[in-house]
Amino acid sequence: MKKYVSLILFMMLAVSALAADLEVTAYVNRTTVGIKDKVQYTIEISGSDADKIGTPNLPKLDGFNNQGVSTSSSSSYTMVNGSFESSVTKKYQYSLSPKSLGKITIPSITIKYKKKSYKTGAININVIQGSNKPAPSRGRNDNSPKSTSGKLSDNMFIDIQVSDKNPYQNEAVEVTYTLYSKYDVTSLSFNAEPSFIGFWKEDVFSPKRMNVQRTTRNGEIFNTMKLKTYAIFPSQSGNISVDPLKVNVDIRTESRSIWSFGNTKKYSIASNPVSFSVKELPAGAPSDFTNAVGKFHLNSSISETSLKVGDSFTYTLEISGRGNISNIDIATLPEVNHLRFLDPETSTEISSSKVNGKKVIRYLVVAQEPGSFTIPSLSFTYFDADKGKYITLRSDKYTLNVQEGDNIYIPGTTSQAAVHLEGSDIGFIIEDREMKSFKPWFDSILYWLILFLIFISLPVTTMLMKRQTQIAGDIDYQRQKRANRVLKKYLKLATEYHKTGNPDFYSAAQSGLENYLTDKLKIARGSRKEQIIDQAVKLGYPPELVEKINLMFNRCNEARFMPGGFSQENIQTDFIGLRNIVADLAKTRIKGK
Amino acid sequence: MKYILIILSLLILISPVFAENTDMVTKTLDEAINAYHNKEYDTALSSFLYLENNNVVNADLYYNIANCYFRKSQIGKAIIYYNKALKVDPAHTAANSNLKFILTLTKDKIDNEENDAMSQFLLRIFHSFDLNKAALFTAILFFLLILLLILMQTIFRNRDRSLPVFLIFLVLILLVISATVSYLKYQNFHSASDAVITSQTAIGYSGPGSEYTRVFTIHEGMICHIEENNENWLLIKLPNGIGGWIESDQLEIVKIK
Repeated sequence: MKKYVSLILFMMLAVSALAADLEVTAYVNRTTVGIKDKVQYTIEISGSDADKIGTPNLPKLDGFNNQGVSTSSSSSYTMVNGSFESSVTKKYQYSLSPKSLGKITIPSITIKYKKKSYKTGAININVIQGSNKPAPSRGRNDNSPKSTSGKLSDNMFIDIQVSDKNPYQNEAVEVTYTLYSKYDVTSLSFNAEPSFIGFWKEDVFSPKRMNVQRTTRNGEIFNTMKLKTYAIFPSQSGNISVDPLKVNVDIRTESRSIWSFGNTKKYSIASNPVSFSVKELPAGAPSDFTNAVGKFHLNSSISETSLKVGDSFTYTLEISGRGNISNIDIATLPEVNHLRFLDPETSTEISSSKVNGKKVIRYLVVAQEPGSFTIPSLSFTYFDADKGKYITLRSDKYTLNVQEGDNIYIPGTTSQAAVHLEGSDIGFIIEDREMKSFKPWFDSILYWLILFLIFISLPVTTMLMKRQTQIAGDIDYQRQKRANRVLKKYLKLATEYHKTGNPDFYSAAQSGLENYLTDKLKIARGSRKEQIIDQAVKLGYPPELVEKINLMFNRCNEARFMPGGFSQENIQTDFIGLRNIVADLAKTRIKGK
Repeated sequence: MKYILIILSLLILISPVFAENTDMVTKTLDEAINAYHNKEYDTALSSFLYLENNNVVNADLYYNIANCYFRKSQIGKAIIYYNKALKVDPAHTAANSNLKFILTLTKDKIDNEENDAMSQFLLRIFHSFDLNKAALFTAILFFLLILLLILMQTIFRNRDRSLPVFLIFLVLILLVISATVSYLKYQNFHSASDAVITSQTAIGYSGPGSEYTRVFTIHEGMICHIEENNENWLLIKLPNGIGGWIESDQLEIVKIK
């Protein structure tokens, strides 16, 4: 809780501290009045605390009769960085009538608030005979000063500020042109800029947009706008006058009624010409003087003082100060044997005023030979315009220690040359003692013969292949293919006989097996049982299978030819035996021929 | 077996041609090279030319002959022989650089056609091997093609044939390219369309005869292309495209016997 209270207190304090800033100005509507006219003298107090100040006490005005005061106040709120700021402007408008002719001064007024006093400027009023046409009545809260005098030059003019009208040659001079206007200036364009013949000129300021501010000058309030600032450096001595600056100005006249916004009027106004009396630089300049005028400092530095052959270091010279910095030259470094100074890199930094700045010159130096070397001190002379004399600055002297290093100094590419051709000739003869005659193979019969032989091998192989398939296809291949079919046929027959219990089953089984095996084993049809068995063993039929086949053949023979060999009981087991043999045969692969 | 016998018998028939006079060649070369060392260029030249006349076709020999002619300041003849050497061996570096050098000595500036990068690249490949290498390559590709076709009929008879078919196409394409290159090289080898001016100056006329309008004058060493042959007059075309008739004894054709 305490914390919050203190925080709030602190905030209030901060606000009040911020708001404590007051601005007090005093101005009149015109500085030249007729004896019968009235002068409107306004004291304007603005700031957040403006309402806390009471009506300021006018001092005793000797030359005027105070005819009363009217008060007006306006407030504005602005958002600054997320916090509201209120600003109140209070105007006390006194109506003063002059008592006598001549110059009358309204003295300065002091307003005290919170132990601070704010002072307004004193205003001189010129009272003339008669009436100086009073201005039409003005609306309230009219912030902008309006024309009060018929004469244009009093209400709008260009003011010139020159830093020095009596400079030395090459000394920097600042010239600023400012537009003063009592009218509402809506737009502005440059008609003619001063050419500054006899000067080196640098543009320092050019307005980018309309930027009108209010200023009081001699007690009158004006809309002012900075037009131009130049930094000029006289390049010759004697009297030089500079052409005026001319601008075209659009001003808005007062509105006559609430229905019109007023008209725009164009005026062309010019500044006064400026004349300079340029002083010649005094005689007795040192030999190294290179037209530097102003106030300068010279600094030098070196990156390394102990290094090896082939290494490089930087030597830096820096001239800084105020004056014609961009136009000065620095004496070049004298050659130092066995140190190679590459072309320096110069950079100039000049402030926006074009008068202050620095020039930095960096030399990259390569050590070419071992030894001890001295970089001599360099001198720089400038003319000090304030003191009116020449001043010579000296840079430091540096001693270098270069040691033998691993690096070999390689001269820059510029010194490298292409291999110089000292003469040209044809190559020498070839001393080969065995010059084999070149014969195009395309011209030799052998080449074509070989190609022909290669080619011929294709139809030859084709023919051979064909014949082989024919032979194989005719006998064995066909038979092998047929074997399965034959077996199937007989097996079917045998199955049917078995169902009916027909003894022909055995003959079907035997012929089937025999035919199948003779085809498969590639032996003649009708071979004897022993031959078939022999061939089967030879071609790698499993012995159990061969034994089974043998047994089956025996069973068939028994059943067919031995009396009483056939019985209904056995036919069942023999059928199963036959089927097993057929299944085994289907699984068995023979070795080939 | 029968074939091998045929090949062997053919080889035996041909071999005497290869083995011809190797002793003589070595001896003559010895003489010629020694003469060249002693700066007796005439002797060296006649020995080299003797070899050439004895049907020795060799890039090095032509190169040596060209060098002899150069020493005798017969630039035109030298250019002919450098070109001959390059015909036999397009990759002959010494002949290439010497020719380049000698062409700078001719009176007429020869504008080499500026080829773009692609054709330059192809030309470089084209000139990087000689005719027999192309022939060998063609023969190998032909052999591969036949082999693949045989394999198709035997091993791949009952198998997936996509790989051999792909390879056959590949080899076929390469074979076509190789055969084309070989043919071009063979044509180039036997061509007789390039000629070099051997006389000091030669005048080009607009027709076959000195009564026609003079078109140009060219000097020794100029390389030109023969377009037409009309008895004693040849229509030539210069590298820059200008054509004209020239008397046939003022130039010599770059040709290998």
